[in-house]
This record gives sequence, structure tokens and C-alpha cells, in this order.
Amino acid sequence: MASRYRLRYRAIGSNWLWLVVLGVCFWGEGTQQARAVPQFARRYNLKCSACHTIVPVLNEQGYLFKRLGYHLPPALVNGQPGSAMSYIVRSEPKWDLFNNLSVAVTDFSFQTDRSTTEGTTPTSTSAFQVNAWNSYAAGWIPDTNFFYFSEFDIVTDGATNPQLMNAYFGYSGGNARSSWYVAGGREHLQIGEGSRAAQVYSLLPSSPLLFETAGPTNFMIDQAPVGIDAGYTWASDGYKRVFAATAKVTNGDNADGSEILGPSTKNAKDLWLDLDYWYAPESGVTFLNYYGRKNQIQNSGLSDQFTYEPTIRRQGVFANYMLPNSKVDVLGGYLHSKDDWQQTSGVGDGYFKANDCFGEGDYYLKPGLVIATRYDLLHQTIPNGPGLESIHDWTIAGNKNFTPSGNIVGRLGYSYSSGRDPSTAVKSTSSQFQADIMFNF
Amino acid sequence: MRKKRFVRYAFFVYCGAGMLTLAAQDNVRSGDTGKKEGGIEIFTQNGPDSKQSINVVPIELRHGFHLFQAKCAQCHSLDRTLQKSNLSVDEWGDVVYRMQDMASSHMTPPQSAAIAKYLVWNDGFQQKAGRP
Repeated sequence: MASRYRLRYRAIGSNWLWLVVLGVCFWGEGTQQARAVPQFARRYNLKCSACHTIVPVLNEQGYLFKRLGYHLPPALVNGQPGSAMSYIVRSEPKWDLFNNLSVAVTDFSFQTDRSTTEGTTPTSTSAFQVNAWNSYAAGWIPDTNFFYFSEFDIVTDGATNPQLMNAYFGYSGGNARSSWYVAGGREHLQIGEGSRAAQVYSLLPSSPLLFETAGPTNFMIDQAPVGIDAGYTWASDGYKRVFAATAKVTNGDNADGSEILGPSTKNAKDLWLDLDYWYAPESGVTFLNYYGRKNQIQNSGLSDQFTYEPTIRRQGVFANYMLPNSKVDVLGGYLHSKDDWQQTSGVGDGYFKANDCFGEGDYYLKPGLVIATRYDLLHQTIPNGPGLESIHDWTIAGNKNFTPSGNIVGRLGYSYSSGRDPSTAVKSTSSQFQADIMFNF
Repeated sequence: MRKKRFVRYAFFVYCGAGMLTLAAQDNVRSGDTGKKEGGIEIFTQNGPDSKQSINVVPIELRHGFHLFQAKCAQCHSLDRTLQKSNLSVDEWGDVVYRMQDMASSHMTPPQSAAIAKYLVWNDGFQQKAGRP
């Protein structure tokens, strides 16, 4: 699963930590005046904050940048037609390797965690670690409407686990006012990420629980499946209103919840639909629908173990409202889950159901400095289980840009969660503190 | 073990790319991105923001000065923007109104007009101060 900012506590060997630190210093020293910003900022000589509120959260321009095939949205002047995609691609700066490559998007962190579970001894962990190290190659084929995006993750959640998290290729057409694209390959979540509240990326140390929590059928929204997708985007004058629709067909998941990346006996495909509406300044609404099937291993390891193929359904609504002073952003989201459920082979028991939500408030003290807090609530129930169970999570964090461009970001965060498992009703709690610094070169 | 070897390999590739970057700096084109100065491409995203004191700005233009800092600094380094340009009043207007219609600006026409007025004044101010 594709959570680059989720916490895990396996520190990599200290030798590697030093090598990476030295490497980043080398890179920063060698390129401090020339190229010490990521690829897209280099291409246009713009700050990171042109497309992000604070990295990695996208603003409206960053969202449109992706949907136009990694091209900067041109001005949309009142009453005039938008520039054609073929014109936009010809107006790009000359392609070179260095404005299509970012080799060191890294996150160093210190984390402490205390967890309790009913019937077991409480545990505490703490670690300094390289939390993430990702490299990106993304851009366009010169003078064509073709674009590509690849993300190679070397360290994920503190563990060395090299994998190609994104690798897709696409074609965009139309014009800046009314554009479309088709793309195929491995893509993390929705290609456009959705409007602000529907983004997996967050100002807090972890994403909203409703994206990240796997249900009893081992399915979670945050994933990077292989498939094809098509999108349409419409924008009004000056991008004051943007409407976007995306449809996606993907391979789906293995029984353990990991993405099917190679050949499989599974015949059904998963369907995703995403509708986004942005309205100025920086506010938006997203509707998300998922429908798919997967193999589910029930009663694993027991004598009555069996496999069945439940249908998985998710519908969600997400919205944010940024006050006109651009200082206060209020976000919220709701996701409904309904999965086929069998406790005995061949006997349909009903459905695993969940109603999950979150509410978040972000206060921008000034550009590049924000305090954010979020409350997550999951309500889950399974047939013949212990009944309706809940999980609560409170999180607070501060983010600060350490450079004018915003390519080095520091963050302090604390979260506390408690709740009961929907199948066993065992109560567990967790409190976490995280301090991290992210370099984007 | 194989993973460790792979990461070691990736690290050397990464350092190699850094060295290539240094080697390539004399040869890169300036194009529409960074400005080329002394053979090295200068990117200004991390340049200092405006150091201009509000006290030197006429009272009637201070609203435009604040808007300039709030809106334009979202994407651009203000220090470079505040160097003297050879743009006419109309040309500054064209630049600011084009920015107004970009996705990240969220500027109203009166705000754009206030920023353009301030930038035109700043050009004259920089010229009087004899700055390049």
C-alpha cells in the first residue's frame, strides 16, 4: 500500500543513514545556487508554493498541472479561448534531464510511540530514521502531447523497500479551458488526487484514517493499482471554477490487500469514479465512488478456512472551504463502506459496513507556516460480530517552510487514537509524537 | 542482502547524478527558466524576498505593495522582481493582468490594478536609486 508518510518503526542501518545524510549534503552543496529545487520548480523557475500549499499538499494550480499532463496552466482570459494543448507543449522550456528528474525527496524523522492493547503488555518505541527517500522522473515528450510520471521509492515508512510506486504514460488533449487525458500504468490513487479534502497527502503526519485503514476484507482506499484512466477538466475564466471527472479501471487487489501488479487468475476489474469541483479561492468538493471485487481468505489458518469473492463498495464525499483571507481552511470528509461478508463458506451473512468521517482545521499564520488539527472517527460493524465499534483519533501538527521556495519543510506532530476492533472488540490505544524534516531536491 | 546492494547502487547513481549536474552547469541553456550568470544557471526560487521598506513607498501605493508581497510571492522570488525593469506602464499592466488569470493567483481586477501601479512606481524608484 502506498502511504509514504505513514509511521513504521524499523530504522534502517546507521551506515545507510549517514550515507544518505552525506549524499543530501553533497547534493545540496553542489547545487545550492543552481538547482536545489525539484524538477517542476526548476522547469519554470517557480517556488514550490506555486503548486502546493505546503509540500506535498496540492493547491488548485498543482491539481490542474497534473491534469494538463504536467504542464503549467496558462492564463485563461475573460472571453478568450484557452490555449490548445499542442500550443502549450510547444511553449515549454527546452526538455533536459535535470528539469525532468528529482533524485532526493527525503524525509528524516524522530518518532516515539506508546501503544496499548487489552490483554497485552503496553509497548513503547522511539527511532531516528530515514522515513522516506523517493526519486521522481516525470515530464513530457518534447513537442508532443505525451507525458509520463514515475516514482521510485527507495525507503518507505523507515524501511528499505525499493519499489516503483508510480509508472504511467499518458496523452493530453483539448485546450486549457476544456481538456482531457488518457493514461495507463501504475498510478497512486486517483491521478488528479481530488480536491483538497480528498487528497491522501496531508499537513498532518498521517493521512485521514478513512483513506488508510484496511477493513476486515483487507481493502483500503490508499493504493497504487495498475490500470487505465481517462479524465476531463473544464475551467472558467481565471480558473475561478473548475470541474473535473475521472474514470479508472484497475486490476484490483490480492487477498492480502496488496495491489495485483502481475498476472492473476482474478477476472473482474475494479472501477473508480471521481468528480471534483473547485471554486475560488482554493475550495472544493469531491465525490468518490469505488466498486470492485477481491478474493478474501476467511478463518485463516483454521480448519474451516475458505476463500470467497466479496464485492467491495466505497462512496465518499469530501469538501473544504478556504476563507477569502486565505488563512483558514476547513476540511471534512465522509466515506461509506459496504462489503459482502461470509462467516461460513457459501452462506451470505450480510455486509461489513462502515461510516467513517473526519474534520480538519488549518490555520495559516503566514504563507509557509501552518497549524493543523484533525479529528477522525470510524464506525464499523460486521454481521454476527460484537456490534458497532468505533475508532477515534486526534492529531495536531505544525508545518514550517525553511526556505523561501518551500522545498525544505519541518513538521512537529502529535496524535492519540483509541478504539475497538470491529471483529474482536479488543480495545487498543496509541499515542505518537513525530518531528521530521523533508528535503525536496 | 540484495536490497542493501541495490540501495548502495542507487546511492552511487544518485551521487553520480549530482556530479553530472555540476559538470553540466556550464553547458546548460538559460532558456525560459533560470537566468544564466557567469556560466551558471541561477534559479531564484530560494532568493531573498523583498527587502524594500514600506516607509519608502508612498501611502497611496502601500495597499499595492502589500498585495504584491502576498500574491506575487506565492510563486516568484520578489527580490528579482523588484530589480529595475524596462517595462512600460502598459507592459506592467499586461504582465499583472496575465498573472491575474493564472490558476494560483486568485486576484481581483482592482487588486491587479493596485499591484501594477506599485510596480510602475518601483521601476522609477529603482532607476532614481541607480540600481541595475
